[in-house]
Amino acid sequence: MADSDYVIRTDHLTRYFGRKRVVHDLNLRVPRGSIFGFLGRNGSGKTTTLRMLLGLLEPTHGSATVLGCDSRRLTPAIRARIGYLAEGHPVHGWMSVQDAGKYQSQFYPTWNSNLFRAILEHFRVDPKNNARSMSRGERAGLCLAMALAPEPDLLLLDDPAIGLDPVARRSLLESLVFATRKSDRTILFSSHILADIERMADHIAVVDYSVMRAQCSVETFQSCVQQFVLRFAGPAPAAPKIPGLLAASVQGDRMRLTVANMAGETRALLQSLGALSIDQVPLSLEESLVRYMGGAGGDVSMPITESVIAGGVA
Amino acid sequence: MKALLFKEFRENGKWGLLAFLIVVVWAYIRLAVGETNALLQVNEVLFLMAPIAGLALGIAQFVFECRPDNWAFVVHRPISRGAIFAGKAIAGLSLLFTALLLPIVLSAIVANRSGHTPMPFNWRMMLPGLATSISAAGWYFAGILLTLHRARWYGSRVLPIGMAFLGSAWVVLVPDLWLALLGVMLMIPCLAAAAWGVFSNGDAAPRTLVTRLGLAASSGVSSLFLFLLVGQVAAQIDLVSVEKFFQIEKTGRFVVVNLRQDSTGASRTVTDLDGHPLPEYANLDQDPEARDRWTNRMAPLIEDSWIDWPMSVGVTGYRALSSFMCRLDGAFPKTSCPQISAWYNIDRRIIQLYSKATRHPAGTIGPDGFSPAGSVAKGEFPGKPLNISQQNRVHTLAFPSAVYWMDLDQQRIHKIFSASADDPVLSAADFDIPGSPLRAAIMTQSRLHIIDPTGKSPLQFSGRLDFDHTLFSGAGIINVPGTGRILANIWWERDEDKTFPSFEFTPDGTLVKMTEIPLPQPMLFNHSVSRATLMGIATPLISVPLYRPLRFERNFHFHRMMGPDWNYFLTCMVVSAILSALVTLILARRFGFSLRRAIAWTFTACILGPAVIIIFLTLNDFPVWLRCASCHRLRIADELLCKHCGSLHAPPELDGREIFEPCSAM
Repeated sequence: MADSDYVIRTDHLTRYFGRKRVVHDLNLRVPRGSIFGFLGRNGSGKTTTLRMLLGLLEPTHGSATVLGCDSRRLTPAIRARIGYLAEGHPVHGWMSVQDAGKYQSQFYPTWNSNLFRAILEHFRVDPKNNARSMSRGERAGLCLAMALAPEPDLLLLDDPAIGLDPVARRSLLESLVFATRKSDRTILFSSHILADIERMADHIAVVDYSVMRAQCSVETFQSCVQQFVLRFAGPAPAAPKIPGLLAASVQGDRMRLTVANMAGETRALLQSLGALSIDQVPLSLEESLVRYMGGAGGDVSMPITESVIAGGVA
Repeated sequence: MKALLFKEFRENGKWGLLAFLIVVVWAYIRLAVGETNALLQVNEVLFLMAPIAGLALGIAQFVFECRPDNWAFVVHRPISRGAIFAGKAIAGLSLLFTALLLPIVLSAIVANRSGHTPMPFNWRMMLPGLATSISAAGWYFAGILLTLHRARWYGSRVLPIGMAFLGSAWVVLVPDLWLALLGVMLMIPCLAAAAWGVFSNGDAAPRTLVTRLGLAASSGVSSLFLFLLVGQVAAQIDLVSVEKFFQIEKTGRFVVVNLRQDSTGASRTVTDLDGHPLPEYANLDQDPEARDRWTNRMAPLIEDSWIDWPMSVGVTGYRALSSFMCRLDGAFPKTSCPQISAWYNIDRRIIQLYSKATRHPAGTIGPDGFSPAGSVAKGEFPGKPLNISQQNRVHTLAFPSAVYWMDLDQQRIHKIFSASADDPVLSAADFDIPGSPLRAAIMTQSRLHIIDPTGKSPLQFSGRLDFDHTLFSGAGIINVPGTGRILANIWWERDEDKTFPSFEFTPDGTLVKMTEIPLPQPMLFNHSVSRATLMGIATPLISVPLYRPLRFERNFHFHRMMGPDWNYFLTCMVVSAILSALVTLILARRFGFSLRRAIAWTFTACILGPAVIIIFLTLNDFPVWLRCASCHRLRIADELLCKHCGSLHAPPELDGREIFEPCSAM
């Protein structure tokens, strides 16, 4: 793929806050026209990355290119092509919805008033409402309308569904799907809500403790994260140390292993354990992501039980 | 830009309106309880309100941007960050100036109306408020810095307020408007550049030279000011005040009173002019009545009459009414309560009278007499009176060519002295000695005259004075009770002059003797080890070569203030310079500066003192040090390549779960 096919490209992008490394050597490639899910747990560096992409934060080292322009020197013309929906949906509280749209429209030559109105209607936002008195869902709708109305080539959404009820979340997703009608528009959104990723994204990047561990299409990701159930004649042995092990649990004669990047060597290792059967269990994208982001070797997706607590105390 | 301006006006208009209302209401309340001019009240209110309004508006306008999400919402739009800042600043300053200047204009209109106050109106009364309002722009930018600047342990956010404070103080203290505006015009761009640097770079230290200079100036000047201020405050801990001043005995003998005060109390000794203790005053401390009499400089042993002449400082200036009008309250009998308010109008060169009851003009007085209100004044006086500093307490109205005596309760004025062209009048005052009739003392360039203003015995005394009057600022005229002689003590103008002449005359004007009285050295010092230490630490070494050229002693009295601690103060200054240089050198190396840069900073710290440490910390971000994965030596995280081995930063360790699709597949 040529460089121009990537709307966003970062090279060794790293950011420290004091001594804490928040983003570590991020090499992100976001293809033009993709809906790109940027995933990670709290504090994994997603928001910091988005702020660096917009030139709001300086990288400690490394660089980022957005729409072909160095993120530290984004020109007004480039900024006009980037829509940004910040976490928390900030708006000027004293403005009415109508005023907010009018104010925003004066900065963007490509402002689409019909689209602005349509999104507001979709969210059932009264244009005469004061922004301060709106619900979170309404405010998200207003912010999305303000981000989409300029018809940007690139839309960066920082946890857009945070704090929204299921109805508002659904409205937001529908609006985003509607926004993708423009074929070469790229959407990069960070989210915790995996169902949204599954519904929307065609590519994902997963960051874990400031390091990007995956960057691929959704299908590839799903095919690379696999779960196996091994059944033994007697009590199952302790989980083996295998490369790419994401989660392991043992219950009686069964051992459940979730593995990333199953290779021939790993398969041979599993077979050498002497299990009676090795069955692959299908995983949804959400389950794959949960197990993947849960961390290597552990199983944070397991519920907290009495035994877990007892083990923890011991 | 238009949209941004409109939005800022709408968003912050309420703060501007609030500031305007506070100024107006506050001035109105003051006006209601006092008998003064609305414009003067607004000027007084602005003295406090202009800084408060500037600071508050700066904070209010930028507080929304404090949250990172809001910051992104404000700055991520297709307009340069410079234009956003300019739009906000233009709107903010417009609101601020409207809120502060509108009350000045309105009050000037009110004050110019006849019947408002019993005093003349002059448009120059607007200048103090105007200058104070302009200085509020510094507070506005300080407010922005207070809101947006990164908080650091050394008070990085609060520091710029020091510079804004200095700007406001400067406007009040300097006598000339151009000098006041020059100071403000230097201060405002520094703070504006600093604010722009902080706004443009978000959380990072400013990068451009102008913004760095602005931030350095505002932090450096403020920290220096704070150091010196702390030194002054610390002086209260162990202050020892030593004061020397003259007293004149009833025989006309000059003696020197030495007053020493510290936390344990006060002690006094009296010596002759050569410093020898006088045995007759050995027990002064034990006699409470004599003690208080000898050490109260406001109630001297012998009453004198004081004549100031125009060289006297501190009475004129763009903030002083006396630069365009003088109050003439002294021209009424002391025992009466005049119903007329009298002013000498310097521009019109006439005396204007106002009825205190109706506040309307009651007439004018010119050299040729009284004219009722509405009619043409009878003549014009020669110009600006010579008695500016004391005009409010005398009957005399002196000009170089003549001296007039005013009896304003009778709306009367008459000339009592005409000077010759080669011996012009320097000044005149009432010669008011208890028990004697009121007379006029007139100082010409070469003679002292004492005149009876009633004209019964016009010239009572005329003695020849021979001194360079340009070196002196005033004279005390004394009728010595013991001898009946007249003493004229000419008082010094400059610190450098170590003596002042004292002329002693017989009552018929014969000069008996002229004595050069040495000034006791030092006249006054307040000696404090704490202050000497702290001020020594703060004062930059560069002030040593600048001490004489910039006349620091005259303006700040360092030498007099330090007294016997002068050498200790200098030692502290040198030690502080060395320590500042060392600390800066260490910091520069810790911040990964090249040797050349580190030496430049070290030298700067050596000559400018500890304020440079604050400037250094303000201008530079502390780097993160890491151990290089290749050569295992310490390297800075900001640099892509290790300066020791040239290798890149180590990539994150792989843990086997990485899923990276080849780019071509995407």
